[in-house]
Amino acid sequence: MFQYAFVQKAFIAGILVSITTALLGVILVQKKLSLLGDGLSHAAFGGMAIGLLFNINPLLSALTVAIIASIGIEKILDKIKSQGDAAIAVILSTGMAIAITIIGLIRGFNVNLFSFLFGSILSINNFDLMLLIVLSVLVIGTILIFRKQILFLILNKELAELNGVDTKKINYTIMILSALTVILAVRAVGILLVTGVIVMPALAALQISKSFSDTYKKTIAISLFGMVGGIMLAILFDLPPSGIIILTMTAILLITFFLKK
Amino acid sequence: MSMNSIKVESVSFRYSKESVIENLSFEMKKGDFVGILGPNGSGKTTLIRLLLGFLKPEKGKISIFGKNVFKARELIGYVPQKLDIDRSFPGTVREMLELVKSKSGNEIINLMEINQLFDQKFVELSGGQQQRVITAMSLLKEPEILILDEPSSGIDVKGQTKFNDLLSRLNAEKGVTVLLISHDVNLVSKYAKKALCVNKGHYCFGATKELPKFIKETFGKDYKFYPHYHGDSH
Repeated sequence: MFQYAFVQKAFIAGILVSITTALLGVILVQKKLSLLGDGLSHAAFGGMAIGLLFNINPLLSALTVAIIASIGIEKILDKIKSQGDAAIAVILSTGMAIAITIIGLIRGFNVNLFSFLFGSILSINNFDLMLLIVLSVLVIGTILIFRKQILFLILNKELAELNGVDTKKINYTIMILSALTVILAVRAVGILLVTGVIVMPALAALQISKSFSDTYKKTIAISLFGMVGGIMLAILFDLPPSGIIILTMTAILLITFFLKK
Repeated sequence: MSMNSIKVESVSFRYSKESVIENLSFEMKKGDFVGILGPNGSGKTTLIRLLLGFLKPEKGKISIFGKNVFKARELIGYVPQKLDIDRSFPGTVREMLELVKSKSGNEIINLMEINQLFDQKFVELSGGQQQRVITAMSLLKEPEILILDEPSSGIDVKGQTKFNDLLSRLNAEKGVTVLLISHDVNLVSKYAKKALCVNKGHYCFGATKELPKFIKETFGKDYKFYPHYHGDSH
């Protein structure tokens, strides 16, 4: 199967998405923001619709809208404190409302828009792949640079501030990284399943890990296994990759629950 | 004359319309051990947040070693009531201690008796062990002042006694100024040299020997307690 260019691109994209979503997933699960990916992906869907309406590359318009939405969520969180799910709900509904309105305007469901809903890792083009490489390097590099500050913030915001961590800057950084990661993952598994690739490997790793750094490593391993295994199964049995990737990750999660017992 | 470590001058603070602290003044000397006592909602935690610079006084001034609270943050170690994590947090004691730029690692780790806990997950420790790890994190930067917000809550009696004895040693041997928030009158009277009683705008500050008088004045004459004064058992 690896002799085909589209399969090679799918695997490269899958590996990049796995590593990036794994690192971010650990942070979001520990910050109790597991549904952030859902909110941002729906906002990104609105951005894709805007792109299709104005004939702009939908990934670029989605990226712009997702970044604006991520900043919006952090601003709302700052205002209403502690109610992360409410802030995410506001952005999720607004993004979806924009998409539905535009779908009405362009009279019908565009095929491209449909592929973003359910993902299409096997039809990634060169531009998408280049964008994925740039975004992955940016996200992975930033998380590695700020990993200590992020861990301090997860522990306690006030302790972090007293030890010189600029918690506001780190919170906004995490939000923007989430927006970039969602755009990366949407191409692979689609808007409806993006939360799964972010949350499930981290949740599975947390059941069996011995430390924070071990959690990062195991999350990456589980994410890679789910993604690569899912793509292979999808090609072999001619099934939709996004569904198989998530089902593989669900199976791994269930196994880790069993192992923890 | 010993130097003021904390100086609070006529400080007032309110949350929207509700006044929580009114015209509070007190001074702590270097090496003091002060217990802050007061019922829920009396303004104890608000006072700590003002001292740490997380809130700004509406009126009055706070200085720490003569500096503004933001500039003095380097000098303060803080032990919060609880961390923001849940049972799924995978971090080990080692990973947590490595977050702080350490000036005197081993000494603090020995003092807090946590050298055997390095590779254990923080969430798997007992309440008393967790409190000693958080305190060690706060002490690693060698603060002049240690502020603790109800550190004994949720810890068994044995763990509480061990932790409070360590605080006493830290204060006596290292000269660290300690400011301890507590609900427990006995704990404050046994370990602290001075007490600050707080009750929504009513305050008393002075030696723990005067606690019965302070308590009557701030909490009312029906409030009962059986204190051990500082020095009784040490």
